[in-house]
Amino acid sequence: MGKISGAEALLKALLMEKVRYIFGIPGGQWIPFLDAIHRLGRKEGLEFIMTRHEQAAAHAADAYSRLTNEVGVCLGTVGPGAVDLVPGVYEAYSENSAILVLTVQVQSWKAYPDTGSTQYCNHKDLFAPITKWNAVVSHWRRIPELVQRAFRSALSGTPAPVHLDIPVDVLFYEGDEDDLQFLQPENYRIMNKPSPSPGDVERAVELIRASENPLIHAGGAVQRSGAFAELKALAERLQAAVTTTVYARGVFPDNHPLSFIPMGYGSISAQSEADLVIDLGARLCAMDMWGREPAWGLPEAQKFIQVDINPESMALNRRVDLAIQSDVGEFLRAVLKRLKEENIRRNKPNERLKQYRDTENVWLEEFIEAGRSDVKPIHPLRPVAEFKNHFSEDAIVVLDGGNSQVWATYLTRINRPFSFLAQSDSGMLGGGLSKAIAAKLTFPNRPVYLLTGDGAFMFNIQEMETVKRFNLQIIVGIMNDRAWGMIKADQPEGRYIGVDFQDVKFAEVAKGFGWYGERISEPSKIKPALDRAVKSGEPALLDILVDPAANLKVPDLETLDAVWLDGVI
Amino acid sequence: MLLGSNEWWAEAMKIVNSDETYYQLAKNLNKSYTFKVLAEPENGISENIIMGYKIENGKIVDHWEDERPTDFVIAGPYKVWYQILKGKMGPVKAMTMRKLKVKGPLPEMLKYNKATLRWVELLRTIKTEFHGNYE
Repeated sequence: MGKISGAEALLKALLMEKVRYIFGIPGGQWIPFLDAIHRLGRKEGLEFIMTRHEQAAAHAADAYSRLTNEVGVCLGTVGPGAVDLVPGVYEAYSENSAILVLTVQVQSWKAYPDTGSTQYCNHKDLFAPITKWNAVVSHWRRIPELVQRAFRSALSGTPAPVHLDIPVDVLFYEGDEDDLQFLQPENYRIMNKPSPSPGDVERAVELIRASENPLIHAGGAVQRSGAFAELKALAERLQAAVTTTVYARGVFPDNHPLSFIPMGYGSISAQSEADLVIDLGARLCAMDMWGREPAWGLPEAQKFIQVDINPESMALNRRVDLAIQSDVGEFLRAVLKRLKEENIRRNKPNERLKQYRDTENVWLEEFIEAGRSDVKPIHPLRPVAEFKNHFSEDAIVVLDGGNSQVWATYLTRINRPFSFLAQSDSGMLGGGLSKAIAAKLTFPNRPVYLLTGDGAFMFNIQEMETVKRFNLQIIVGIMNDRAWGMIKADQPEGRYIGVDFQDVKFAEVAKGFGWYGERISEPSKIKPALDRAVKSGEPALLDILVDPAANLKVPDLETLDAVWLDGVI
Repeated sequence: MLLGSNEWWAEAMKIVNSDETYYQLAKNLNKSYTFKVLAEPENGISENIIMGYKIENGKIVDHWEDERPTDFVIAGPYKVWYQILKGKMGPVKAMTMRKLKVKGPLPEMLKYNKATLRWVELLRTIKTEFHGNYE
């Protein structure tokens, strides 16, 4: 073999992991790597997706990972470029997303510690709190090994971001390829998923046997294990209510008779009364109301099985009766096998499920009504309903943060896995459009739509250019209230401070980016505008002026406040 | 009208039972409740205050001051009840934050959440006198 540069070695190591996209903005120090992608990467199917802000690149890598269960890759150049990645990496970290963050560093002999180089930044310390593992690639020889280690770490246990900081001289250096060891993934990381011990399975079966009103609570681990059929099989065998975390929507169909909407009154009812909870990879954090009463049962009255690939996640916020370290798919298969052998099955749903459904339906009544409402200004739920009704189940739904996400939760229904991108534990604003970009690139034949508030959308509005450049038909609905609605709703009435915007004509902005755009102020005009937007074949933005007053009255904001400000107010 | 007094309850029944909005939300509600307002000696409230009442088809039909078995028991410090009746805290927030502890079937409570909110709105219109240092 001949000579290989550090940049080429990095590319080769990434190709060994079948990386399809690298999202980012190049800088001078990345030139040899970008050139390697141009010469060698593209013909192997790897594309560089230039975003217009590094934050967007990290969000896109995060979304790619969530939609594929693979590692998303993003990069930023030394100093400002790396720093700009941080918000997106933070979200990936909070949401347990496997991404590889690549930063380039000044020369190795001028870094760690700084000697005064332009743009120098201690990237290793910068990313340490928001990555699971990170390292400086100190020498050309270590490139394959550290890339392999990064992938192993990102995908082991609970997925999370990892980071490599590569001094520019390491990228430029050329050496004999024979001196490097490029391994296939199966030669450096575990390809099989951990299974539960037979004893744990038996104990789980005993708890299930003794239960009269079991509930399955599914987290993102179900998505990562791909155990959708097994989850459905267990739920139906036990006739158990199924709830999911906000993140995991789609792992169990919303239209299944055993399914309840996350954080809805049906879910809370079922969670509070279940005599057994089978928790599949959910850590019971704030958005699961900490696993505590009244939203969940008292520990003495509610048995709890927690299945998690990561032992560190056990009983984080609630006592458990049985902690099982396992991939949730392996657990489900093992338990189903034993339940079949023991002929444990319930033929009809628990009567209580009907009560939970009634409670959910009563809770939803006014939202469904508002979704049909012709009142002007437009009620925020009307666009949510129109978008839901317009698109097929195959659509990938992206929600940005804030009140628009809360409204959308009420009426959006997700019936397929890998069809939903939103933020949960991070509470992030502004990643929506970037996630939609990754979704459309990953699944070009599936419709992708984004519902967002005007505040959230402005965080990364520049990505409209990226969308147009790659000709991605993404349909954006801005629920425009000209304010930080969620924050404003919490402020004392009449004493609003720092929450109101001036009017931005987003449809005109969209046209400037080469998109299709319309501003809508009448409810009846949303549907025809949506038809025109889709028909245009272009990326399209509907700027929907929603009622600012209604947007201050999200019904469950008080509950969210209670969770977020627990112990303070 | 002192909180929990007969006079206060008479006013509560008059307001609640004549409210059409509440009736529409609660017309299928048939439950009994106990409120335990917990003593705060440091604020001049030396004993727990017990208030029980019964709703039939959306109307308050009875109330009492002793402990009886009821469908729901809701308990919390005087300060929390004061904050709720003064409009400084919502009942849902109080329950979510466990400032009020609820015993009873939560699905039923949630199903009639809108009725509860209206009920509290109506109680807030009563010119309530509070115990101890809360006036």
